[in-house]
Amino acid sequence: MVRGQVHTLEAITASLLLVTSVLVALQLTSVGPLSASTSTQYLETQQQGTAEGVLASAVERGALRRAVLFWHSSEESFHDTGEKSYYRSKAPPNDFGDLLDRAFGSKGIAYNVAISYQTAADERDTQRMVYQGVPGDNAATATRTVVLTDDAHLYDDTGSRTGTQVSGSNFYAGDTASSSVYTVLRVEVTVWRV
Amino acid sequence: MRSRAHERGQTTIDFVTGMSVFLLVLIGVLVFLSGAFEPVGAAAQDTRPTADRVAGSLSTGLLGDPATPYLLGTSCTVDFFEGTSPADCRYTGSTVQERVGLDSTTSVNIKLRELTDSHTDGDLLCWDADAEEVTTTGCDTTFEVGADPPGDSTATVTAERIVRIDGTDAALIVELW
Repeated sequence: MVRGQVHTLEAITASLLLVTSVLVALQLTSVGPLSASTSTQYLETQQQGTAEGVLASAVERGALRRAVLFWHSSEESFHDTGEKSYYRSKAPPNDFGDLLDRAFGSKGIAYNVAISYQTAADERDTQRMVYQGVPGDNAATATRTVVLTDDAHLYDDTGSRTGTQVSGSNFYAGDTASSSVYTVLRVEVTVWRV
Repeated sequence: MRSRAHERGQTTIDFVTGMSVFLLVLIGVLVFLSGAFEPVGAAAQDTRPTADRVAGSLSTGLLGDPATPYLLGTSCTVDFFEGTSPADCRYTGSTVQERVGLDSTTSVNIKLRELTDSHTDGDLLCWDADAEEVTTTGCDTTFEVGADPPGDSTATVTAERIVRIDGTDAALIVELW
């Protein structure tokens, strides 16, 4: 008797049966890795905590307020920024920038610092202090407010207080309140891992 | 034998091809299944959110005032690293694990390092009781508590926060394994 058996065909059929049963079992039980949001949540929490810690530290010793007033009135930019009005790749040359650099500089973490203020037309405008690019995934933002009074003075590039009082003509934010408060600035620090 | 093989329509190459295809698929399926069941066991990834939670609670509530997060109170921090739990501090317990809310099977190492350009090279901060200041040398209480971190053989998980204590910027580093 001539039997038309073919080993290869049998083997392929058996293999297909094996793979199909495994696939059906997987479909039914949906075994899979953790989704991106739950497994990387701790990354955002850690970034946020670090950014908040940096801001709290800067506020406690007054470095944040001095950094916000570190403005060159005639150039309409922060001191030593080059052609833009904000810092691109380096940290601001003041205490706040030193703290940012020590906290994030060597860790592969990029940060943006933006100052939000209210304009005379009751809208919000933003002045960038540091811009290192578009924030990536898992970016976290920490915010802190700085209240400037009418007798706030600008700081020069050595970090000492000048005699120039802030006003609408020499500062990025204008006087929005009729009381002795000049304006309320909101400093936002966004950090992300590159 | 050969004539039987010719009559039945099978050759040696035919047999080899068939068996190798089948065995390859079988081994591949077995390897895949054994890998698919691996995440069900305890993984080192589970401790990363725990380390982050410990670092967050230490920096925002346990060692200072929750109203001023990331600014640590000096006396409670010194007592924490000394190993005592005074009544006016927000942590209780006798071991480090009890104080931060871990179970006793988890090993932990908590330290405060000076904030330099690279965290791992900063000196350990400590408390000088005579001069009553936080410094790096000549101290009575070193700001490190917990077991010594293991060598290169064990994987550890680290979380950190930036804090400020007694006018000094520091990095609070929590290591779990």
